[in-house]
Amino acid sequence: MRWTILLICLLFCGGCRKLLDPGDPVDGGNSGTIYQSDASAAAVLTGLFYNMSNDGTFMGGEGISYLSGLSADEFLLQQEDELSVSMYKNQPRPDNIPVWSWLYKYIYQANAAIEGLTASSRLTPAIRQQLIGEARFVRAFCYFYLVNLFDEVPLVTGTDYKVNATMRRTPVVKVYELIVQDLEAAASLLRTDYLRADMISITSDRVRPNKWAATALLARVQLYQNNWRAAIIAASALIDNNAVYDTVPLSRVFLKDSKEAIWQLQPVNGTATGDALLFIQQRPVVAAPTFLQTLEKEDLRKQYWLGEDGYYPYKYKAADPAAPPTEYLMVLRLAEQYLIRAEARLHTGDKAGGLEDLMVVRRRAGLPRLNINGTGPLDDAIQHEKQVELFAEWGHRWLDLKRTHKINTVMKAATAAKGGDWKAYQQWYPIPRSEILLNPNLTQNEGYPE
Amino acid sequence: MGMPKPTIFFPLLLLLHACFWYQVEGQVYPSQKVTIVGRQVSLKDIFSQIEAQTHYYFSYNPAEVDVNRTLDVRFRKAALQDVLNTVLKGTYAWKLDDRSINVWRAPLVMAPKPSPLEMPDTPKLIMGKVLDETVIIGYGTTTQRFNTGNVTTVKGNFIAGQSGTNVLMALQGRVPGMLITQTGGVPGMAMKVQIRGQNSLVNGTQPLFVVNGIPYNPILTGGLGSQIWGDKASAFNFINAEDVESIDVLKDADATAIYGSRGANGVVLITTRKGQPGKTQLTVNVSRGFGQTSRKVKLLNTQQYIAMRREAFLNDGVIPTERNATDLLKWDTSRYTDWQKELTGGTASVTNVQASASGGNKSIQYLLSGHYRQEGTVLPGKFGDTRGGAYFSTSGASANQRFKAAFSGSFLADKTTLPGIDFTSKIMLPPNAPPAYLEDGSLNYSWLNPYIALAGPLFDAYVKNVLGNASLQYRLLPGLVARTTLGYNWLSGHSQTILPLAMYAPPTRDSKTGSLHNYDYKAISRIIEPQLNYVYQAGALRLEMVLGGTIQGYNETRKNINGDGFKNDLLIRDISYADTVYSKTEGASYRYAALFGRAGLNWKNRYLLNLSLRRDGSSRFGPRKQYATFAAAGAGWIFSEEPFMCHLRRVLSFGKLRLSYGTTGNDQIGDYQYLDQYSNVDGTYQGVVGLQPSRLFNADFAWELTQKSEAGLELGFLKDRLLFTASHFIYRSSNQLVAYPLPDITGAGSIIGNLPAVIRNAGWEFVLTARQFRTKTFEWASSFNISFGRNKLVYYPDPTIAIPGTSGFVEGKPLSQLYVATAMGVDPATGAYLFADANNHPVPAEDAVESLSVNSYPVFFGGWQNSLRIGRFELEVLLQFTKQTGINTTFDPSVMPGYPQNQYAVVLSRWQKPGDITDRQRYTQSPGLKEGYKKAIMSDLGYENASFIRCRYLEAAWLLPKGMQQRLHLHDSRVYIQAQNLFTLTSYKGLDPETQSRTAIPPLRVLSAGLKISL
Repeated sequence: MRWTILLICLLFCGGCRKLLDPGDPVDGGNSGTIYQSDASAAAVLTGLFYNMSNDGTFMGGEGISYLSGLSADEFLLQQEDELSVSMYKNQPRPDNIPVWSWLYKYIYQANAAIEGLTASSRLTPAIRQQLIGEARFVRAFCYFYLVNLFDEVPLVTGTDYKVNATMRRTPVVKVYELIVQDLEAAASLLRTDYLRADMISITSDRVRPNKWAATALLARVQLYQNNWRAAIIAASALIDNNAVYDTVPLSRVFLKDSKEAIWQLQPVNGTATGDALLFIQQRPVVAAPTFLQTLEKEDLRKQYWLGEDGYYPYKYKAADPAAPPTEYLMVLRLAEQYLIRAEARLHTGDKAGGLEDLMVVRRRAGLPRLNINGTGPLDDAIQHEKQVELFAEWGHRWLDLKRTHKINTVMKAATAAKGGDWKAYQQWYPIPRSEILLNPNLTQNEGYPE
Repeated sequence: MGMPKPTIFFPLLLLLHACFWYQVEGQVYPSQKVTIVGRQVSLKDIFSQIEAQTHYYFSYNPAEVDVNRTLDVRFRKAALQDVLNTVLKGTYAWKLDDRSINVWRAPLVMAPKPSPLEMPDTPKLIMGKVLDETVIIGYGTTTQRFNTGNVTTVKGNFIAGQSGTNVLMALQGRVPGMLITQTGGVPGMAMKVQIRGQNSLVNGTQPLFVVNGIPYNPILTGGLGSQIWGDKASAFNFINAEDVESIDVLKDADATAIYGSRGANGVVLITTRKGQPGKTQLTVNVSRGFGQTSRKVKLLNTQQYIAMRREAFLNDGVIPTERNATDLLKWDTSRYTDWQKELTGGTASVTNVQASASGGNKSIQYLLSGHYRQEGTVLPGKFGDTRGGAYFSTSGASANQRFKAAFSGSFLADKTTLPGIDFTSKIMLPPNAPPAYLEDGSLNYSWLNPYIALAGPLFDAYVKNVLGNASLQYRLLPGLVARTTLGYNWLSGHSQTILPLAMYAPPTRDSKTGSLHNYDYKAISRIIEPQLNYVYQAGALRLEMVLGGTIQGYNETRKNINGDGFKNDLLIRDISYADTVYSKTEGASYRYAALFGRAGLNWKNRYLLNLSLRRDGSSRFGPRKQYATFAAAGAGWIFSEEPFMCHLRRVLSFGKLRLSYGTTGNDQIGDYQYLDQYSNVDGTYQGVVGLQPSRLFNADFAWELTQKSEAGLELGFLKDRLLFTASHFIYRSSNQLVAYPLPDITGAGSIIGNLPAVIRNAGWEFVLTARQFRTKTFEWASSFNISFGRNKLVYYPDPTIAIPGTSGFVEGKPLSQLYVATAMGVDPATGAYLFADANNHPVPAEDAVESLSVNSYPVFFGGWQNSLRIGRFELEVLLQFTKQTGINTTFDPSVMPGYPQNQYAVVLSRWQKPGDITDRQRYTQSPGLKEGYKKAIMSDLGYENASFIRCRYLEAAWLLPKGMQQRLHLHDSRVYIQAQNLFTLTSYKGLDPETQSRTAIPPLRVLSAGLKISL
């Protein structure tokens, strides 16, 4: 009797917590266990890159390259599905806007990794540092696209859903502040080498971001904020690293061992990139007539990067998902750095330097030296070069039009040509309707129905 | 009009007789008879009258025995022991010591035990049993008479016969409010069990199952990878029904609140047999039988089939070619195979052998039993289920009965072999399909021959189930008993599914490889429950209290190891010969701790009050919400004991009104839902399988709550020969756990949270039990139950927020209600389906409105059971009935009539030429009519009346003649025949109105004959 009472007392006073502790699940871990070993901590970031490559917001029919290309003046749409048509006619619908949720999913994963890695004391310091760098790079990358596609967005930096679920939109300046912080931190945390998934051994595959990837994105971000000098410094760091990065012939740019690549994603559904499958196999778009008209006659990119029968995007050529892998999906590449520096140099008064950088890209495309002297025409030439060089890549055209405030003039004609009616508010995508429904603090972009 | 008290005592006398059995056992009975009659006679006077009429004298301690207590007595030539037992009632005990009758204050009597000496040769009522038999409730026992809650007990006599391989089958049709649905006729297939409706929007609603005090997971999760068993294979397949003594189903708050967080969906307590003191008994029961598919469907024969195919081509204006009409142009169009008969028309043999020995004395009792069962299938090939096992139970007590210990254990090993697919899905093959075997006897691989399934995939499983439990108790003080029960269950399974090269045509085998799927399952459940029981009696007041605690754990692991690339079928079971091996481990882990208490008050055997309370902690909830308290109160008023009811007592022998109210919980949401878990992504990046967060950390979800209220009326007429029970219940379930959607900026689509939706389940249950006749040679008892239930979504917060799994729920309507289109026959001009639009005009599928409500939950269901004995002949019949709307399975959801697949013969009434008025679309072999066909399935045509009356169980037995039994030293020996699912009365057009499946074997009709001998 005494023992029974004692037992009960013991059980219920002392050991309640322990009694209800079911231990760790056998399948997968949780934040308490994952960040205790190098291998599983690294697997979180590997899983993040897997998701980016698998989910379809970075490539394929719901990818940023395709959707933003439709929104801009890059394509002539050949098919009639609802999403493509709404983007093409610049009437994106709040109930069908895919990019948002994936980017925030990656941001959550990065935030969770940053929290877990920061709290963990049992990892090899070098690996921990590298992983935090990767996570901060990914977060910056995602916010860069969010803020450029949706304008002000909630700036989520933690994992508590109760805080996050009611967040308001954050001013663009604040979002850029975080992006710059993250990229500067990532550039100092990350190694200069490209690593395998074990985070120790070095590989020639450029499918995990390194210090240079962070620097390259930083160059772009500084350009977007008109911080010309900072952009020049960052882009120069890449361009001067000749041993690792160099321009390659047009036919070799998008290969998996391309020396032009700064960061690529390895295809995970079969061996072909989602963009190859989309643009070649499915072929929903061809280059817009206006785009073809602006191409200089001798531009080799028309021959190398557009399909023969109908000028569809043909940068990626390997569309057989079962063949041995030859191409990886290009995210950041050196040609953009030259164009970034060209524009930044121009704006700091270094016209000659700017022209020289521009010519690196033009020369490869078989184009002659330009005889332009005025700042305005040179700037136009750089933007035109960017439009052509980065055609069907990562929404560069759409973002640059907005950044350079040319969007309304260009799109007024372009949207009309696409069969739509341009309104200034359409430069921002609508916030998904379900988000506003579930978070009353979130406001819709101007012009769109609530 | 004074009713003589002893007659009122009659039922109580029986009860006390049983209680006192252990005390008087072994002593010499006073043989004299005495006559004492009088009103308010004191005990002292009774004693002196007995002393006067017999040669005995009384000795007692006057301080202990209140001899001035008075009572009304009317004994005429009554046996002295009966007189003493009656007048001393529960308060005193007596013992004969030479000529002295020693009387002393009795140690308080624990709950009454059933008498071990019941007449062995009479049928026992299985349900609505006599008022004073033991009813097992949570942590105790009571009787139907004094129970304030709603409990239905099913006794063991017919459990084994009715259940076949699954002990839950014994409850079908016997328990009001409990809906048990089989999903098919192969042993081990899932059983759907629901008590009193769907209490949860999206989560599990299965009751809590407790076997000898051990919570038992009814589902063998993953079904060891078998497609036929399915993901929710029944773990009750691995409990031997013959060892089960009784099953008690607890329903209302009063009965289930003591199970707290797990009690919302009801509790099923399964108790196994125990040895009884007395002569050693040896029982052997052998039976052998045959099972066949109980129902067949009428399909097209070859002539009709070929006509259908030709008409389809004609209708579509398509010329048949060898490519699109292999069956018409390449196959013999006169050949006929009845695939139904061929593939599911076999005979399953059933062999069952059980043997047990039991006995013991006052201080130790034991029971040992062993069993073997073999059951085939009706499918072609040698498939089936073989099992064997042993069970033992011992209990003992110290000489002074203060210490008691009981221990029981069982072991069961089962081997199941099954094909990879249920052949029922193949009965729709074209009836003119080529032969399965070539002339040389080899398999015909030239078409999708179902017999290839005999080569593979093949599934075989080995399951072992060990259950052990111990109970120790010690009487600390009179009335105060300390008790601890311990339980352990270990259920493990190992299976292999092989896909050998033999599945492929010999010429293609070089380019193929074989595969192996290994599946390991292990579930361990353990529990310790220390308790204190206290009984206090003062005059007419009786107080019973239980205080206890529970510590419980459950662990489950499921491991899949698959190997591909086998080149040789002989080595295919050895994973080391695989080219590539990949594996996956899953599992569940559950911890549970609780404190509970109950107090039962009984005043004057008329006024009953029962209070129960449980404080529960469950690992399924996050750190902030792990604990919750559940409580209930039940009250009963036995109004027939009131003086003002005296004059009615000749007719109304028993009347009780009971009420209960309380809260219970439901935690069937799976484990670890609060953890910020990571899981593997589906593929590799840089050759490594990465991880991703699969869930957010969430400490803020809690139990689903069900508030149960119930009122019951129990009446006994004509000395309880006729018992009537009516119960009305209203359950309100709230705090529904759902995956509540979150904005995507949180990184997750949803989070588990408590939605304040309210579901109301209300219903009526009636039971009428009659023991109409009872003479020496003739006896008839019968019990009828019927249940009506209604379910309603009373409140649903915001229908605009899309919660996964909740689409289609409409506030104010039952959860099981669907909205479907209204079919308006086929277009007389084209033969395509038409449906009603909003104005009730016939329109094609695209414009149809889905506004017609269909509710698949039964309108009512129940059972009628009859026990009949004429001389030495006994008959037991159980009819089960359900009124419901079910799926019309004459529509093949994937293939329209006209495609190269056989059809139910009902398609013959199709549209043939313009002007035809009918409700079956024209034959077609192209997808043009697909939308209309799909809509027809989702219209009123897709549903039909699936009501049925089924003879669930019939047993006819002939008891061996007494003389013969005596000569052979036998007793209770009989020969019998049994039938399960003997017949089904229904207008349902599909295979079976219970399973409502086109692809699963319907429940089998099993006829068997057996012999049971007891020594």
